[in-house]
Amino acid sequence: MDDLKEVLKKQIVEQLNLKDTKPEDIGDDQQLFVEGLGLDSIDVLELIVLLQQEYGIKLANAEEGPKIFQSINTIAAFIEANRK
Amino acid sequence: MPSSSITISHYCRIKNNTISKDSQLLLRSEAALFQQFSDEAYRFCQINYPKFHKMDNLSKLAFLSAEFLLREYSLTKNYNPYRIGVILSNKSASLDTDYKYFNMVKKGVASPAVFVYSLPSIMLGEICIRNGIKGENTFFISDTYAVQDQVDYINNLFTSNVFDVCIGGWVELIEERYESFLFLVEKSTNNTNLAFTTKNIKNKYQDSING
Repeated sequence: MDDLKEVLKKQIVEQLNLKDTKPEDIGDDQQLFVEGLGLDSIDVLELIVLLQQEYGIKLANAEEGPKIFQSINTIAAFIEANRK
Repeated sequence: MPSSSITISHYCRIKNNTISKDSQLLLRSEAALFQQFSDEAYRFCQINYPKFHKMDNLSKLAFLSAEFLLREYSLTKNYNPYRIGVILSNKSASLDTDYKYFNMVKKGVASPAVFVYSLPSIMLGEICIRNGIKGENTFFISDTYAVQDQVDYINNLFTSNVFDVCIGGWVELIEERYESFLFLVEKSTNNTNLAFTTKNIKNKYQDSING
């Protein structure tokens, strides 16, 4: 799980072009949206694409998005539970 | 009471790895690619605006041009945000990003972050968001910079009392070929300012191209 979180942080920094953020700067429990990393609605879509491309997970219910993308911990838990 | 006329307050150009404002050279770079040049220009601005890194190259060029044009000058401190206009034009619209998106789709990957920049008017939005501008903004496409048409259009909007100040110009980018020329025009009672005429804009544009 810890390895997954580290990989996820690197993928998020790269996919979302967070040039001023290093993967190690992102806390496992840190809020990713609004006040935390300051991600926006387009970033959510990019994260959905990332899950699909890298982990083969298709988000069936968009309403689940805010819960899943809360933090690195919640994304990692979702991947662990749904990875093919 | 002295009568006011529309005058050119400032102008800025970015071309061939250089940035100048009001004919003063601000930055000359040795960067090999626009990506490197734009990163260097961003650092030179000494701003913290993470969204910059997510923009496509055309929006980066427009954003940087406006940053340098409006340096040490807050438009919204001096004007009502709803009465600040942005009128820009270019030749290639958003073709640079359109190609990138097209090639991604061919590979079966469609990035939403790339897709949102597949419209040239997005660069106006980036300038407006950054500077708090909420007034009229329009984007035109023409083979070459139609200075006369743009000056007439902007003058007409001033005459129609649509805005009190306007950013105008040309922002063109395709692959590694790029060029921007932005100017700020406003109503002024200062007779020493350069009048906003086709001839003066053409001269400043030509100077910036040749400079």
